[in-house]
Amino acid sequence: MEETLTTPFWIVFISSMAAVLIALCGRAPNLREAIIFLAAICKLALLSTLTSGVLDGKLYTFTLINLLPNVGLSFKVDGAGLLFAFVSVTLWIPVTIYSIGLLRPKKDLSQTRFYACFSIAISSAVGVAFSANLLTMFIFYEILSLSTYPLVTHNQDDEAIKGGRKYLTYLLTTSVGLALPAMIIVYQHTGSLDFTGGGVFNDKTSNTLLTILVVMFLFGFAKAGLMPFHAWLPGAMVAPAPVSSLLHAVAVVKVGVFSIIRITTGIFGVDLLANTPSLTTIICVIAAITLITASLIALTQDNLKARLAYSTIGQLSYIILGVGLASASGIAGAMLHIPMHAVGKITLFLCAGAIYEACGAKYISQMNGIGRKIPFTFTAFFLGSLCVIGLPPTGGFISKWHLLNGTLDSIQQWTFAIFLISSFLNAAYFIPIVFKGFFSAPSDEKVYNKASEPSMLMVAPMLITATGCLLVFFFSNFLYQFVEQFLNVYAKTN
Amino acid sequence: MIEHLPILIILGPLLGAVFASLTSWYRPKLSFPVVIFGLAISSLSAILIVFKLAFSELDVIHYQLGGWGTPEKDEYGIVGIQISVDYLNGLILATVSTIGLLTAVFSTRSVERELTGQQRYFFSLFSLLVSGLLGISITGDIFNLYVFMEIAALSSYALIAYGKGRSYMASFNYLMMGTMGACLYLLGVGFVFVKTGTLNIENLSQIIPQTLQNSQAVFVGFVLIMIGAWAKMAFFPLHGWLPNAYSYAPTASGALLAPLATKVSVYAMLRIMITVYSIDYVLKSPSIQSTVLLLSTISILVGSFFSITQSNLRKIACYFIISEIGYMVGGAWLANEPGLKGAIYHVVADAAMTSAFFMIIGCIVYRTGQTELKKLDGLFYKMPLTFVALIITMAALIGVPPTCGFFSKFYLIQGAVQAGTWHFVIALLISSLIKAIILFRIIEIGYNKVPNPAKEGNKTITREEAPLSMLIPTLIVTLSLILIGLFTDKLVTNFIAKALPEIPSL
Repeated sequence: MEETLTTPFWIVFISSMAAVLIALCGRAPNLREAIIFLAAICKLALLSTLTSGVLDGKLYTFTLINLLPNVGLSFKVDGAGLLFAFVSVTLWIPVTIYSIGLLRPKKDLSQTRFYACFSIAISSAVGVAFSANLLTMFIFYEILSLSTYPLVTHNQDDEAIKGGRKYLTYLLTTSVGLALPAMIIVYQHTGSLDFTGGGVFNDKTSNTLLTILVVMFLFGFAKAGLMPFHAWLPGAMVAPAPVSSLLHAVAVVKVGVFSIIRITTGIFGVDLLANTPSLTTIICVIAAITLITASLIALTQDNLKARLAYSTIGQLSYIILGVGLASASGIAGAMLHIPMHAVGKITLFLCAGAIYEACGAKYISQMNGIGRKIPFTFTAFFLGSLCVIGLPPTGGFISKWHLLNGTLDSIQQWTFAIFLISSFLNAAYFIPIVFKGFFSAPSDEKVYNKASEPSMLMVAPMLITATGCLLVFFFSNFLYQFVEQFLNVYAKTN
Repeated sequence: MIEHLPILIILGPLLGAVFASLTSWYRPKLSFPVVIFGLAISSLSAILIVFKLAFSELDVIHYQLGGWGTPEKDEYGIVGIQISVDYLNGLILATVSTIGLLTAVFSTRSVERELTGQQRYFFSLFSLLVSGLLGISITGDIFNLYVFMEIAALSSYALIAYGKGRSYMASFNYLMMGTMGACLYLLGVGFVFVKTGTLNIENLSQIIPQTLQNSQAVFVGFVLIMIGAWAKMAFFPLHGWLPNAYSYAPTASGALLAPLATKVSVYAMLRIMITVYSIDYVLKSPSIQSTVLLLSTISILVGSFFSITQSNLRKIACYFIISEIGYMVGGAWLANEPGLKGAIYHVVADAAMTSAFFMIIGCIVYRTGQTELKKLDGLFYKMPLTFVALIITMAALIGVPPTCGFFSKFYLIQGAVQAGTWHFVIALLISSLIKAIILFRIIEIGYNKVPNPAKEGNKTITREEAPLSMLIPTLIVTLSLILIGLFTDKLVTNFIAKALPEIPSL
């Protein structure tokens, strides 16, 4: 059932409009931040008006303008899009509170630019979530890359400029050099770029072409962090904590994997993948290599944010691996891993920022013992790491459960082992931080003495998202309804 | 009145040029309003005629000068001078006249400063150049096309030589190449005339594809005409004159010439290729086709690689033109539907992009006096609107959606994929990436290099935009880059698709 409705358009653009207002209200910080909350609440309210319809199996569509024959700037809201939009917008609120707590006391003069770019980034993330075709998705994907550049280079020092250069080089080179030609080849062959349940290809398309296209798309959307195009993510860690947490754990990187989910299910089609083992093998092998390598690199990192970045790269590959299984439960697990990993990783990044604010410690080796001085922050960190490792009672358990189920339904059963190994590695690089933080003797006296909980505006959002890690476990059934609706459309026969 | 619209398009600026020089004897200040008036009439008529085409059943609007050529006065229809507007040149006419008008408004202040006391000559030549360019686009006769080509060329030699320093030499180089190109073109027209006995484009389009498919002389004419057009548009390897000519010219001349002169030559090439000779004819000689495609690829790469070695924003812009010419020639010679669509669309899009780029450079020169990339640090804080416009223009040149540059690239790549010309695809992508590198360099210098002046301890930079008469045209053109992009589908289905000839399926 499709229904035309302008609401998706407003949901996408409301925060872009907010960005204009934010830029105009630079002199009045209270008003400026009020606008952000207002925009976030409006967005959430509009999203919830669509919820019941989508769960009943409706698809809301809206075409703003036709850009090419058969291809418009169009939106289509389904379960997956709505779920992803909910995740990005909901997490936007605690991160904004945290940003206020972080930036205001520093009297940072680029705050207005920061909030304005942030709003545009959220707009484009939701735009990707609601895109009805590949071109619309590509447009929002590029806007997201450009709007987050000022956020990465926020500090405007040499390190930030270097990180920003790496960031744009990787993201633009791959999207222009691989994803764009792949998209044009698809359009040239099929005359359509719409995401549809059965995919756009017909039986005549040769296997070689499909293989080339899969590889081009996988690496073309480099926001998904597949190796060897992952180095932008550790480089982007020069950004302030709220940027790393919302954008580089939720919005930006998830846009990358979400795009890949959309392409594999909507352009290639689950049936085509399931019947073409060579394609799923390629996806699974690339993802598995990235997954294990990233986890191993994460073990060696002493810089907390770098360790988190590599952990993110690994976790993103979980999602791609789940899609590569081309089975219903694998895709369900991949979709569920988006919100589960999002709450977990955002908590960890917020904690990393808070630890730095609390005692100036960037390196894990400095953090022994400080858990006792900042218990709230470290408890939140503990819950976040449980969620990322995938232990109950946190959300990560649910998505990994589905992923493991998916491996058994698929022909790529060897991936079962990859998931297990990786979970051990996850535990190996997170648990020692928490353990030493609470129970070891202080390693760095200066840091230890300085440590004290940061302001409430920073602690509260962490505790909110940490609680979120537990809530997504208990309400995972509700989240699964969205995924089920998505599966009904895209993986019906499987 | 309405049936005289086509001739008003050229008469406006032509008479504007004449009256501007006459009235300026009486009062020099009058020359500028006279020119603006002429250009406004021209732009208005062009836009009206485009709408007339879009909303009527007509495919082409013919106009016979003085009624000669109509059946009453001349039953064979070969004596009169004919001008005609169809879907292909309607768009070009509207683009050229509108950009001409905006550039005229834009150039007042900059001419006042750079060419003090010579404004009246400048504006007469300016108007004459625009009428030459419009004439090339509107004429229905290949000999008159040559005449208008020379009108445009002669006035542009003078406009370039107005600059200081090396501009004389640059203009002389351009004169040599331009004259050579025009001669070859004329020679080619001679070959065609000898065999066909007519110069009228419509008649030729009947005669050549039907009866003279295998004539050696007509083929030589085709090659000569093409080489002539390529010399005029600075297509590799005939591009050497362009960077110096456009970068040593006065900023106002550059802002007019850079976007329009080369693009109109591309139009002339397209007209000869698809109307006079037909796509069949082009496809008949695959070795020439593949050579031209290879040259387009080289042109794109040469333009891009030279642009990245330049340290001056104006030189960078000039090398961009060379690479963009490669896009258009390549797209046209792919000789399939998406390729031609991309080439025609890119003529309009690139005219707007280059115009925006040169206007922005004009604004920067007006306020800072130079365009060395290194000295532009903190430009964002000094001229925020100009800087944002520069970023949007660069994004369009790179091909970031939803600007128009993205869609032309989309069609061109689609055409190249369809034709299997992979080196052209790769060249297009490399050129995008090189432009992206230059954009980052600009952002790093203009935006990141100087920390926010509002921070304590930094020297303050006062905000000082270019005067409104320069800034407003710049912003209009920049905004149009996004609008053209958003209305791509309308533009393509209503005009460009209809301008395409029948393309033989392979």
